[in-house]
Amino acid sequence: MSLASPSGIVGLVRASLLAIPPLLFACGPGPCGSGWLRDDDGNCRAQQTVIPADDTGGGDSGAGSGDDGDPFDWAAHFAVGDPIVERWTASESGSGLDLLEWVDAVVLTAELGMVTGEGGWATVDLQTGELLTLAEMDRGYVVDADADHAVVGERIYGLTVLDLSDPAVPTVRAEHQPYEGYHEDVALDGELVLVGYHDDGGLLLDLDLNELATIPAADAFAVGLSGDRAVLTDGDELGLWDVSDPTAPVALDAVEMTASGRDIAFDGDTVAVGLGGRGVGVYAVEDDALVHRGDLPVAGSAFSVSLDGDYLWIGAWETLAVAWVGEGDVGILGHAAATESAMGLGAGHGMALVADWQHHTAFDLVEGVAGAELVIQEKVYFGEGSTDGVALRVENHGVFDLDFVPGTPSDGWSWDTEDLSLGTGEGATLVLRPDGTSTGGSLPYTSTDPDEEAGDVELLAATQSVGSKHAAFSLESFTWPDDSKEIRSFDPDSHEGVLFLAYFSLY
Amino acid sequence: MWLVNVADTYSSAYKFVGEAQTTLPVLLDREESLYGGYALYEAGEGYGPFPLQVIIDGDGVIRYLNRQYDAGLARAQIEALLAE
Repeated sequence: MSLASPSGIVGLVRASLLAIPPLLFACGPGPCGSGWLRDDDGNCRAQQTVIPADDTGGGDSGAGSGDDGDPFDWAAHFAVGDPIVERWTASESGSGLDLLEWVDAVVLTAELGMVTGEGGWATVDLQTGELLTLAEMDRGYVVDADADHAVVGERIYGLTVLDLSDPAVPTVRAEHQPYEGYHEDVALDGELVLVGYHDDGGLLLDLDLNELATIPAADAFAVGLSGDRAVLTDGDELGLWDVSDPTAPVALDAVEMTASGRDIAFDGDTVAVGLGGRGVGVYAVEDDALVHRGDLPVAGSAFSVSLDGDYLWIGAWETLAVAWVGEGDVGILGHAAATESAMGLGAGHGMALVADWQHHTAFDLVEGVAGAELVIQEKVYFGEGSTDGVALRVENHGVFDLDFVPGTPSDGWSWDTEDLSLGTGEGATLVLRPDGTSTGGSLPYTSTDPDEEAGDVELLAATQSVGSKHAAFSLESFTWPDDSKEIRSFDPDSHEGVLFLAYFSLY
Repeated sequence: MWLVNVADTYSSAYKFVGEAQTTLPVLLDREESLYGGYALYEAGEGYGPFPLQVIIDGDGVIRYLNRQYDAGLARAQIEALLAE
């Protein structure tokens, strides 16, 4: 139940200053951007890929996820249907609340949840969405709860443990600021708290926030606790620790993952790790070892995961998903679009509470149903006047086969492919071709995805997209550290070399 | 590599550069005159998230747009362009 910098395809979403240092200095694989999809080689495929006019393009398909073995008979366990139903969504926009930009959530009881965000935390009536108790602090960033307690980590400053013996009236049990650093994730189980502190490692504390021990790590990020076992990501590595004596944690096992861990859900013997654009890795703890059970693809960036029995909820910014992680294989049962941007979520009691930036949203799980799951770009950009084709990626993330039937595109476009039938984990790249006269339009389609039986891909002309010349510009700059202002200019026609522009904002 | 600060004040951007201890050039797009022209800027739906990363090749053509942090991918794109 955590996240990193804000994202999502819609909404007024500004990254904090804290998002900038990793952009500049960190390295390693990360999520594909919105509208990008990870291909079989692990590369992000751009939605704006340009296909030259004399290239016929062509489809491709990819293998599904999961370990080798006899295929799981999904149809014997699940009927076709949509497993995710929205209960309600509530918006804080324009409400006058100082508490906004929800980024994490947890389900406390069947009636009560909690969201954290800019300004603090709030409890939520899960039947109505009404915000109940509100508490101000700095940016409430991550939250976890167990039994009668919750722990909230601010983005930079302190940790707070809340006493929830009366969940309608949370009281502060302890406050502490171990380091002036980023809390990337917190976990609470029983009497123990674990916090990911980057190069300060994973810090174990008790419910009074007394520091007990540190699990060493070069880049502690996501953390999880279950009984006397702890898991912690250290970059691309997932470590399993014995914390039966929390003052002296003992390393048990470590495995390499396909990307850096962003969030962990750990319950019983099941560990799920959100891997950003690489989806979710699912592991079992067996005989004090981490055993890889399979990987789950997601549309978006898996930055928040939460277990509810045999079901795993995944928050991936523009989408959320629910997956089966019980007996048999692991697989995505269904997706739903986020109301705004599913920054973080918590699951329990057959539902999920989503921290949806300037909304908070509740979804119910429909047990025993699953479907094909169409993943497709909603918008494709092309250069106005161009006859170059644009690529459209279609994937099936669901456990049942997907049939995809494109309709007739708008005038000025041709579509040189046939109907698709995609198995689990398969995808194809299709090509749309403008005739040079189009200024926009759409491509209708139908599919066997239970919650996306029909839809449209918008075709949008853009002056600045992949494949188009970047506009000339001239902007004010300054040279650090002498504060002398200057003007930096760019002319695409006389440009040489490679230029990397990284846009950021501080608010 | 140029950093482009969007819609902040000069003083706050200057302060950030000091705190981040970066020596990279920082441009100021206070009116969003440049940032607002990208295809990923979705009119009517507010702003896209930061950081937005743009890679331009030697012919001045945009070869990469990404709105989410992926340093490995960006590095691979740059290395591929430099090798062309």
